[in-house]
Amino acid sequence: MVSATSTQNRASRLQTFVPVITLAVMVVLLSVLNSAFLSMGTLLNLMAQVSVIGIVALGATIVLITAGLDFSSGSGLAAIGMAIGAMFVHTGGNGLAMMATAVLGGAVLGSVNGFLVSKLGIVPFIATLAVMLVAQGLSTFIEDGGMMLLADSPLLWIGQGRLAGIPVAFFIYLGACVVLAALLNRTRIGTYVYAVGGNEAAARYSGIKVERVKFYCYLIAGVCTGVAALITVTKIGMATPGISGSTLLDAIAASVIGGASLSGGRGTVTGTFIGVAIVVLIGTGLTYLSIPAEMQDVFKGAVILVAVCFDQIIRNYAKHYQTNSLVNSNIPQDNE
Amino acid sequence: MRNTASRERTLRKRLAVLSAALVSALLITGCGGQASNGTSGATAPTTGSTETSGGGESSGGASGLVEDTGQKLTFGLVMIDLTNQFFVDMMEGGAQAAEDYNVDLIWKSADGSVDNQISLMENFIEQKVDAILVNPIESSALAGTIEQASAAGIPTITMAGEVDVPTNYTTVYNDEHNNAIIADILAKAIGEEGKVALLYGNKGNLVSDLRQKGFDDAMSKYPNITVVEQPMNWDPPTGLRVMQDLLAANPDLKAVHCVSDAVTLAAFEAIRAAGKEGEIVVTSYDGNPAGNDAVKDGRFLANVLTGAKKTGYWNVKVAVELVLKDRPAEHVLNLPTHIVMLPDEAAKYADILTNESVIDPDEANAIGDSYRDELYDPNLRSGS
Repeated sequence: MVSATSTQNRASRLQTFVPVITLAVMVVLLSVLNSAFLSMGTLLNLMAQVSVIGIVALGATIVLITAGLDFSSGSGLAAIGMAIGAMFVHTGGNGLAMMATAVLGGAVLGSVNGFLVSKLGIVPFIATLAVMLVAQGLSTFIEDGGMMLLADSPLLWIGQGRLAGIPVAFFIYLGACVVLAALLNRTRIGTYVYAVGGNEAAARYSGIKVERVKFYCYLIAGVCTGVAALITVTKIGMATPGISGSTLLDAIAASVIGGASLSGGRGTVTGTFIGVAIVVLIGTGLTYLSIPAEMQDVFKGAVILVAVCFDQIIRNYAKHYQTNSLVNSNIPQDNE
Repeated sequence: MRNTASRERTLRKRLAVLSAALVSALLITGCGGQASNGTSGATAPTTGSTETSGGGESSGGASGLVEDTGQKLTFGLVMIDLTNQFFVDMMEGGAQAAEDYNVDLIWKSADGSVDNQISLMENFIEQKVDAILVNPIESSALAGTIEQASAAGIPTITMAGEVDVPTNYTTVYNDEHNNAIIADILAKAIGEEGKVALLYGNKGNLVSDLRQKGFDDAMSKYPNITVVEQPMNWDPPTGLRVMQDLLAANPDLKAVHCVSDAVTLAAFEAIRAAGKEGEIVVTSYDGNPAGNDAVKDGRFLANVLTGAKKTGYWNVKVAVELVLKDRPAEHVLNLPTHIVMLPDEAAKYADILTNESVIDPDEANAIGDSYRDELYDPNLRSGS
């Protein structure tokens, strides 16, 4: 048993380090290949670019930990963005109303997902896919899907402003990281989240209110999407239906690269933070190396594959040793 | 314990069945709703039926055309997608034309898939709509389906993409040529040497490919100009991000052309943030009001007014004409476009612009809004 635990620990530590090493290799490679890369300007650009994907990825991670999946964050972001734009137009640019729209819109999105998945027990894939379509339709329905310029809104500061030279959006992202890390690592709810994802039945038998935990996770993911929508529209200074781009897939990719597992129970804020940096750097790096952007998806796919393969290898390795040690120590196996 | 587990399992199974049933029910009612939409539109005589003089006159002429009984026409429109700003605006213009000429429009998004386009067109043939308009992703792939439509007596219009079927009509504005003109303007603006960035939509998208080809071919005339290119996937945040990267990786960048106004405006935020406003020459495409305003205050050097709303209106009107009036012999129909520049600036590029229609931003915005005044034909058919 002891040896199994230590093997697992070693394995999980290795898993944490893989993304870090990948990131380091990328940074070194890019610096060597293009001297313009290693500069303050690049770092500030990255800080501005990771914020939106990062915040969506944090939401994706917490949902992934519960063995769930949220497909609605991409088009949800577009729909909430449009709602913020509509609020700007109809309230004469009331910043508070716009912020409230972002957070409440996100909360509604998350609650719907949470209700469908936890209370009705619909498979997350189907439930959030349906919600994704609804949100996509809404994004073109609100204000007929027209472009709304957020001219002179004080909120543009959120997406475009700087504090001590550092993009404001990055501080929001960091704040979200800290809050979520604290929630996951320092509170009972955090423990429950991992428990639900690791083994739902066991969590249920030990008295955890599984439905409620799941609901909160989707709710948090929804709010993350709302905040990301606010940053997106204030960054580009306009609301249009086509603002989600590849945010959804990038966010899930970042979580998975960072060690979150689609089968649940695993995923950390730190891992996701690094995963996000990797995903964004793939795009940026190719621009620096003048590699055709069409290759970007190939690289992204390759990095995800490497991450997932490595993950699987380690897990098989850990399981192998665990089974061996269980057999050796002769512990009676408890099957239900 | 086992009992609870198995009960839960059956519950889960039931839920799965229930959700499957729900989904299929939704799908069925969804399709049914649409079909009935179409037929009710075709059978129910509308209020406008008493005053169809205009349409009545013209229907006497050609054979094989639908006689205009004043009933609502139904057109099926298959778009590449429906979230891009250009297509959203096209829908608005189309809706105006539909109102003017008493037409029901059924817009469908192919979500960027050629396969979807074909099956959506097949559905429209099945529904016996009065005309099919399609924005081809891959023109050659649609030839067979267009022949099917012709065989069923349904006129087809391919928008911005020529399909080699004799009965088909193609509506275009000259994207390739316009972007070549923009490239020449940019080249002259930077003294025919240095680095120029092009933000295109995405490879394989017809509109994007034409715009990119026009720009690249023209730029290849200038040996001292290097073009760096990035796709912006038609979405403004991607345009902003790509612009940031391009600026950082190419500190010597002199000019940027981006093929869609909404994205150019976002990319401009990156230029502004990098403190290069006024230093880098920017041109755009589409002629949205916000894009024309940027020409007016000098953020953009030039824009091209294709007018998405106008395009939408024009296409629906052409379809009404094909259904009810003599069909023109010319199968490629051109929508006129305009280069948008301030008069002072345009004067500097007179040699490039000799054969072009050049208008100032205010005029562009006036035309963009008044496309209906320009195109409306009260004699064609009365509205709903």
